[in-house]
Amino acid sequence: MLKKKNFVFLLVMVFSLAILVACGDQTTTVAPEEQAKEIITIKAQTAGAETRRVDNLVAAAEKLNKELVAEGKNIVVEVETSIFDGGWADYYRQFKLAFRAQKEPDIYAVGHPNIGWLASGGYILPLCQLKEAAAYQDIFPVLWEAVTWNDQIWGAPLDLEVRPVFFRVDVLQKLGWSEAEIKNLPEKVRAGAFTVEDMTQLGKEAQAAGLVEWGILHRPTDGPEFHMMAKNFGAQLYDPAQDKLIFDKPAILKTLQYLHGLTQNEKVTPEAITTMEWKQVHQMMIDGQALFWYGGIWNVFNYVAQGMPFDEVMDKFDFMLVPAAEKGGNPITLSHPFVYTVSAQTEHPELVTRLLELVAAPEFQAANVETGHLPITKSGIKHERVQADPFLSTVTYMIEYTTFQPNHPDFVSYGGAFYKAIQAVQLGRKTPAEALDAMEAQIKSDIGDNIIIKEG
Amino acid sequence: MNMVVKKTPPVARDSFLKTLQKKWHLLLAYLLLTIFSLPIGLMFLWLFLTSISTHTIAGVIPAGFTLEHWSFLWGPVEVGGRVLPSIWQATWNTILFAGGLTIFEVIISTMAGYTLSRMNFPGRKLMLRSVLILHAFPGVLLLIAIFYVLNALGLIDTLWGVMLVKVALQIPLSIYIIKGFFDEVSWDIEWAALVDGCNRLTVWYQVILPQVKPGIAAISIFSFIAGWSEFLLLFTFIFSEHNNTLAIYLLAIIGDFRVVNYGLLAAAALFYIFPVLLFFLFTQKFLMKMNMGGGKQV
Amino acid sequence: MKRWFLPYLMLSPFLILVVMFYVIPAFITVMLAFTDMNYAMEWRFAGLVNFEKIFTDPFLPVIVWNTCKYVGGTLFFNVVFGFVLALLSTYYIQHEKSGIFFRALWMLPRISPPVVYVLLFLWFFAPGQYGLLNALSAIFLGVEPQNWLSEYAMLIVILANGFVGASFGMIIFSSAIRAIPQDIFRAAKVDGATEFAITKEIILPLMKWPVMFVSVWQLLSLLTSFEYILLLTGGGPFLDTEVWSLYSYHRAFVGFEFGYGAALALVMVFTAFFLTALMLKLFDFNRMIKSSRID
Repeated sequence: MLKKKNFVFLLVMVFSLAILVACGDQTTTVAPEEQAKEIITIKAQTAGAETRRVDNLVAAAEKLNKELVAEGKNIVVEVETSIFDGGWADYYRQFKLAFRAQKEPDIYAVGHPNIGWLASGGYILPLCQLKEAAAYQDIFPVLWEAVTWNDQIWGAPLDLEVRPVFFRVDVLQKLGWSEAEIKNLPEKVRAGAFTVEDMTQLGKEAQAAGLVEWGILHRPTDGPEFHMMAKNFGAQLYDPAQDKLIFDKPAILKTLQYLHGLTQNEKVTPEAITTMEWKQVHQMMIDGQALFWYGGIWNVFNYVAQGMPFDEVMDKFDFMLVPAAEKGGNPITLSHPFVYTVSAQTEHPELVTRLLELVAAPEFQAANVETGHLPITKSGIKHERVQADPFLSTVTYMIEYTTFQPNHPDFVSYGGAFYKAIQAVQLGRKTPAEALDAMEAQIKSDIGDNIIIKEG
Repeated sequence: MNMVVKKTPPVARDSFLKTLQKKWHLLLAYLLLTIFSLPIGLMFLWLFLTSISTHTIAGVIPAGFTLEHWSFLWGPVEVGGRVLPSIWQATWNTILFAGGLTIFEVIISTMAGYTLSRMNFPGRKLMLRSVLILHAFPGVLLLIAIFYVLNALGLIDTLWGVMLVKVALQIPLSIYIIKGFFDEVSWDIEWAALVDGCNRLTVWYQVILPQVKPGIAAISIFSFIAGWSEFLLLFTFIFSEHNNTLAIYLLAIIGDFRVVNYGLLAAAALFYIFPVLLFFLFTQKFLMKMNMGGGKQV
Repeated sequence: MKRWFLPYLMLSPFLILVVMFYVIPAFITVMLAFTDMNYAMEWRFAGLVNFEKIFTDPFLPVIVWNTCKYVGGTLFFNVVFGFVLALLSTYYIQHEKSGIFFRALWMLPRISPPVVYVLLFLWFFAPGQYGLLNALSAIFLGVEPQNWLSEYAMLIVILANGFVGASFGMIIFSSAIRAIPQDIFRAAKVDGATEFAITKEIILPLMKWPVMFVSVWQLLSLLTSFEYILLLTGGGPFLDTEVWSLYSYHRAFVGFEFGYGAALALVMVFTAFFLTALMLKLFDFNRMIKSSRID
């Protein structure tokens, strides 16, 4: 009797739970009767302000549907887009959890270095057939490097950027540079005649002349530019043959010394830069409070959004590669292309792949200019929308100089340790050598033996 | 006679000094309280002014009047080139979440609180201890484990699922509060009702519950505010945009790389905070009556 | 049989919740702590690796020290401020409406959603000339802009949590002060005691238990909550405001070392249990729970 009553109560609880579940889950799409066509919903997700990353898929789906009609297939593809708000780590966390709950998007747009953990964690499908697809035939070949892990292709590059150094033309003018000298600076950098050290000294000069408050600014958060600097100082980050990351101590030390020097010795960079907000750093560049900016081409789009008219941006700024570390050396830049990855659990891998093939077409690629990004294909670059863009057409040459971060699952941990070291030296809490030791200790603790430690 | 004359002036002077002294203390008390409270007052005042002003003087003092920042209430809102979904969906979700949480919380904690306060049964002491231990239990640290539970129940990415988690995390505190109120109810009432032939369940429902209305109000306020403000659990366990609440909506306005529109952000923040403020103003007298363990030891 | 049927029936929703969201998650966490679960979220037994790591983790000394500073500082602020506020608004200001006004004002930080509340702090302490505090100090004091959030990160975290926490102490101390019979004060005044003496000799000694209660209760809350720090500084700059619970969260959800995160969480669980046991010993537990007078 007692047990029965208890049991009934439990039943009631379970039943009410079930109702709750049913109420919470009202998202199933129902095909309209009159069409009598099977609607296939493909979910696509991205994060951040660049909504065209998923909007392009919606546009490509229209094209796909026309093809499907022509093939006499009785299906309609609908792309359901969503945009994540929050930090990058949160974005990755959500995908992992959603994947476990089988609620993940079919197409997940991420920065390419995430391919490492996505692929080795079994979250995504290899997409090797894309290499054969017509739309990808004239892609910049170097981009395949960015989506390759373990000899397979795991993503479809969707846009491209380069990370040049911005400089204020008006400041150089006031420093007494001639128009020709200013125009020639990017060329001088390209030839290796203007080095990182020259850049620091020029920044200092502008500060001393009272023209700017700061000589050089760089990003306020963890990110690829720091690895770009390390690469510029000769760091090797990854050994593809062994699929292992490399902790290149001499080069990392040089990078830390450089960043330490910027804030502590030369004082051309505010030491608290890593605690600032993006908006604030952008505002400093807009207001002409600094000469150089380790930026990315999409920052032009940020400046416009922050109230600086496009023409004025073009007027006040010019762009150069990251100067070589030594005279006569090679300048570099870094790209961090966003890529579409396909969930390993998707129910429609073929349709998704076809969609990805279509979305690389020049007309969709050209939409990348809306947010200051470059197309991934040569035909995309030739598209009139790109050619008409007075800014992007001047930086396309930088693609030749570009490099990437490695696609390795542990790169997140490595990057985290590197950034901690950078903060420590910039804030003056540690010397570069101390920070290097701490970084090594953390890497050993977090990654263990799965990394090659390259001593001097 | 002489004595009285002699004594009166000092007494008068004394009481005058005392009132002065008392007034002086009072003045000091007001002054101190005002100074301490100034930062809070300033921050919220600034929030309000920013939401209705066009620009700032010297970067801080809001000036000019506009309702433009409030336009998200009736029209689409664009942030950094992206059009955000209407705020009303998120508002409705927040109401649903906070409201549902409050109802669950009140029902479960009054049942448990009454039992723990006024019934004798084996395991009662253990249960009381565990309520205190559960309060100390770092539920938020077990997010990943809770994910597995929710996933197994099929409740991941639903407001109801997260609501249950939040109810569970809040319930020890609620039970503790309401138990204090049950403890205060006179036993005579309960005895009288029992003598009249009611059973314990009817007594609980018809006789005792009305006695602890302030307690129920206190739990309701706490639960509602906690639900309305919840961020981390929702941020972790909700994946679909259509299930977003106001806290997440604010994140969209803040963005990471995007331009912060202070006016819009202030207006949206005020919109978010307004219902709890209102709720609080009307119910704060219940909160201030709350009687928790520490008070009793006096 | 009937004796325990009804109580357990009424407790059952509570008990089900406890099992679902405390017992099972705790069990899962214990298991997790013995795996090396990473980004791939695979369950793979790894023995004591995570616990060994706790002892070799180069950051842990800093994090333990931060946790002490954070908990100690906030607690101190909460208790002292809570008491001063309660004393001023309940005893010194007898005028009820004014007292309620100030107490309600101090409830604002507590009832504000963390996302909004933190935003206010970020604005207030923002670096550069556009920060509220910087702008105000430039106008009134002519001081150069300061990088408050990087220079005084821990202090700001303590303040932010303190403003939220002070109201808890305030409410409890207020009700404790109000519970003191007015006759005692009158008698003291007749004897010529000053207000200061009354505060020191009468009120303070009676605050012993409330202060201890507030301290222990908040100690537990502070140890295990990290939402405000997460939103305010994210543990930075560098590791300046990274406390144990936040570190566990970061390890699990940013570094995706779910196993290690679980091990760190487990340490916190045991610490909290230990402190609760201590609390139960301190506060005559049997008096707190009074037994039923029916049955």
